[in-house]
Amino acid sequence: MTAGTILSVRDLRKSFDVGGGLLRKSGTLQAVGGVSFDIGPGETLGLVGESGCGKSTVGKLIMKLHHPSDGAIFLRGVNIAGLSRRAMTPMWRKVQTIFQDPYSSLNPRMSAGAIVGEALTIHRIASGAEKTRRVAEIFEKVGLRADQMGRFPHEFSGGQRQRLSIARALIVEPELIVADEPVSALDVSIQASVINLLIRLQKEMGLSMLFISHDMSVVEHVSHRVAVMYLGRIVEIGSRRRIFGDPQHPYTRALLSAVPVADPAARRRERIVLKGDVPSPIDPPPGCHFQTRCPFAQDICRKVLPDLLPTGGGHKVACHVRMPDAVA
Amino acid sequence: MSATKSIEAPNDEPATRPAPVLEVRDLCTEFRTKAGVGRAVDGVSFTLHEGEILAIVGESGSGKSVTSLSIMGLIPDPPGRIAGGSVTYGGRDLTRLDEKALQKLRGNEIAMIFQEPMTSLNPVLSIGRQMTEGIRQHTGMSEAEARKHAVEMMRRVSIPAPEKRLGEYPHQFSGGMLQRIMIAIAMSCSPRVLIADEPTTALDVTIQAQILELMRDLRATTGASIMLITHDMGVVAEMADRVVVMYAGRKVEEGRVEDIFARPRHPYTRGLLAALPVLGTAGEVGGTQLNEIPGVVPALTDLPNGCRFSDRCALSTDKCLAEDPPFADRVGAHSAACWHSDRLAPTMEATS
Amino acid sequence: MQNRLEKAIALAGAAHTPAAGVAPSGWAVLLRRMGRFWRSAMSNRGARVGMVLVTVLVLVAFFAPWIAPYPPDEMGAGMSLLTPEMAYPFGTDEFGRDIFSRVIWGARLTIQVGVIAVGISLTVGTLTGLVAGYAGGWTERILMRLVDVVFSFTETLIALAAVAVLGPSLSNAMIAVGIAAIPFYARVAYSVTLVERNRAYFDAAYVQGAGHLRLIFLHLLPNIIPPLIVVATLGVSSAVLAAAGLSFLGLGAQPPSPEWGAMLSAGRDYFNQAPWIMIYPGVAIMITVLAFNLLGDGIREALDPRQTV
Repeated sequence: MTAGTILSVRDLRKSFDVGGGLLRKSGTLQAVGGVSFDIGPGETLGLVGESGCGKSTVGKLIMKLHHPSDGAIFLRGVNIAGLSRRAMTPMWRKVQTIFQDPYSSLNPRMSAGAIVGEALTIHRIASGAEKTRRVAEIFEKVGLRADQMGRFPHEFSGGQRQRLSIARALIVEPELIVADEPVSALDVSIQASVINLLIRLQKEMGLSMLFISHDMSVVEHVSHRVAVMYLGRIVEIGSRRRIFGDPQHPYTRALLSAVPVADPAARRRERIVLKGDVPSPIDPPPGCHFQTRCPFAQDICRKVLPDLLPTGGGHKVACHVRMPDAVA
Repeated sequence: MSATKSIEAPNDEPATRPAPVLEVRDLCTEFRTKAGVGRAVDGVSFTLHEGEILAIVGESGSGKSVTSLSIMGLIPDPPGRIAGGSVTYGGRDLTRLDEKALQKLRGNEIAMIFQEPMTSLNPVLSIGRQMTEGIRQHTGMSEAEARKHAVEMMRRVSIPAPEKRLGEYPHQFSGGMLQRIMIAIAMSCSPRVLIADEPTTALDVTIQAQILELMRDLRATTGASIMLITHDMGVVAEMADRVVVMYAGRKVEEGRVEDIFARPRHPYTRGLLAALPVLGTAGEVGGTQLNEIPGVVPALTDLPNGCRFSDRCALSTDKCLAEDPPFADRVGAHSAACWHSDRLAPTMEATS
Repeated sequence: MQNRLEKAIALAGAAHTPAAGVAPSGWAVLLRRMGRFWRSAMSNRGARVGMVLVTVLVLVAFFAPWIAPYPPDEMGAGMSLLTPEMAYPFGTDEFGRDIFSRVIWGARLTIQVGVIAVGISLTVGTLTGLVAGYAGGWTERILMRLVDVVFSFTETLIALAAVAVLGPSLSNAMIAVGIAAIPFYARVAYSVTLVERNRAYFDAAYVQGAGHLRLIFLHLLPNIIPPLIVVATLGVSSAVLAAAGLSFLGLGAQPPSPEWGAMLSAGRDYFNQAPWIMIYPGVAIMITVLAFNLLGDGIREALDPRQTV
């Protein structure tokens, strides 16, 4: 953890109690099982993985929408993992979030201006004309018109709503943005403009960003560094160039090769098609969580959970077989 | 028109075309809403040939799903109705068949799979029951025969221990497994046409890869024609032989998949392709901007005059605002509904 | 009437919108949206009929002194047990009181019962369900178990018990009926609150640092109101029925009050000779219940997302 680090997550864990119903046995679901990473100033860390891998839970833990079961979250050096809601309130000026669903994330009974300006009132940053001025300013910044402040969410398109969500997050001038699938619900043509906007704003405001997504192409486009999660753990983390250009973990490779490429000429490329489904996080397989689907699994993989170990250049991978040397 | 020919024109017309299986002509489907009557599908025509995968691609509101529901006679009436056109299959116009005749066809000769497998299956009936029911209804097999056939179908879509799993219920399966079962049900009566409406949109990318592979295999082994409805250009590129691009209820472009991706003839198609971040092509973060298409898809009850894409189009001229461009049908080849097709540069050359 | 109400609602909404346009509160928005919602509700024929009937009822109640030819308790306004005729359109009872006048005056009591009883159950029930759904944890468990316990008795039983404690009178009957329905409203409010609480806008407001009061009254309450309006409208009819029932049993309005239930009760003895003593108050109750049910169903349909294409 260097001095300039904005966010530093250490061995973060979260488990939920599940079941207890008539027909289902109860148990604990380990959604996040010991996750560590840093985000530097002005840096975007992409967090990818399939549904149920725990990536969204990591985002919610950092936002304190869930309380961590264990581990630490240092925001500008302050550990927020154990903070009460009251103690957390001023920290929400430093970290803000953008939600996935542009429809449910805006209160349908509030005007766009009221939604975006709410934090100014809560944190007593501005009121009256000053508040109006600042809301107008942020509206312009995200590509909306100031005269749209009096409108209501249903009067905006999906893309515009996501701009409102961005404006709401940015109005307190945070240092870190947790963006949880911010473009997944949007049509391709709209998605492009929201991605462009996010990147532009990040540069202008010097923001750090945790960009959570299942879409490998989008993550590659926006991220400086990328972490790949599988069943609650990070299996590989490193610079974008390493993760996309020279992935070490078999899961990362499979994930990349499964992405459909928008080029009919690429059809005959070599592909790793994984067998089976992601195992249940309530009952993860012993040893490496990926061993049930891994084409390269060996005996040790079925017994010992691999640690996330550095391979040099800030790149880390959790794999016994250590691609690619072990595999011909 | 001849301008495109100068760019290393591939042979547009294969010598022998496979026979048409399903022909959609001037299909119009309307919905009554509070804002007025909207034409969700407005004069769409295309042909599905023997053994081909035809992708219908478009964003939300393009009318692609309504098209597939219209073909299957599944438009809820009211508020919707087929206002015109024909869907010809086996010499009969499906839009004129009564519900009973349609039911005989559905699941038997024309099968369909949807985006959400969970909602298409009955949660309180076992998988086996739901599979055998359809098989028996359409083939007249006995219970035991149908069961054997169901097991065979499940094996075919790679569901492990099919005998055991036949007795289980939908909630005991994962989303990927359920979609396999939907495909097994759909294919169990050896249909000639499979309509797949966003079959992988709700699935994770590694599961999507499995399902797409399965569909390709089935096409190869059964020779069924597949109509694939999707918003995902990646899936189109991986799967389709030919592509129909839809926008605001209209067909705006049609052609072979290689042509559509390399030399789109409609600015909308081109814009869609350029809006996609492509894996492995990113430079520095923020170095390259994705192409934006300004504005939004117009409401069907409030369409612009002239070309429906004109208010979002960079090439738009006075003519586009005034006159609706006809679909320039170049006999089964690559064509589009645009006044300015010839001004479009090819994408592949432009981006690489 | 409809138009004016619509306009009033729209104005109330607009009045709260400052010229600069930053922050009409959740409430102003609610009012404004209700204007739009109103139009959609009134496009349903059943709802229109219900609305007309309810309006007539309210007008009758308000103008009772001018409409009714006689004071409600004037004995010997005519001969006793007169059959309906021009002067006494609904006939007279055993004391010679004009049934028509009594039914007209009874509308006042009925409106009162509806408003007060539903007011009690709606207010207390909504707050209980809202707080339980918002707070979660122990508060939720205690409040909702309590509600469940009360809910497990039938409403009539609770109302009877409450009247037994408070003593028989119309105002006590209203309170009793109101209390009896609290668990129902609490459950509805609770389940709607849980749905809204799980929407992302709630999380968004939470991480803006919004306090308890802001979250409850600015974010949740305006969003749970619409379904509660349906329940309350339908609830008026059951409250009217329940209160009439209590009065019929002699536990609510006492003679000579022209409450419809009490009138039914008083007419029992003369049903063979003078059925009109019971028929007209009975029909009045029926129409009132029907009116609120039609209106409530219409509103529900207007709220149903499947209807809004």
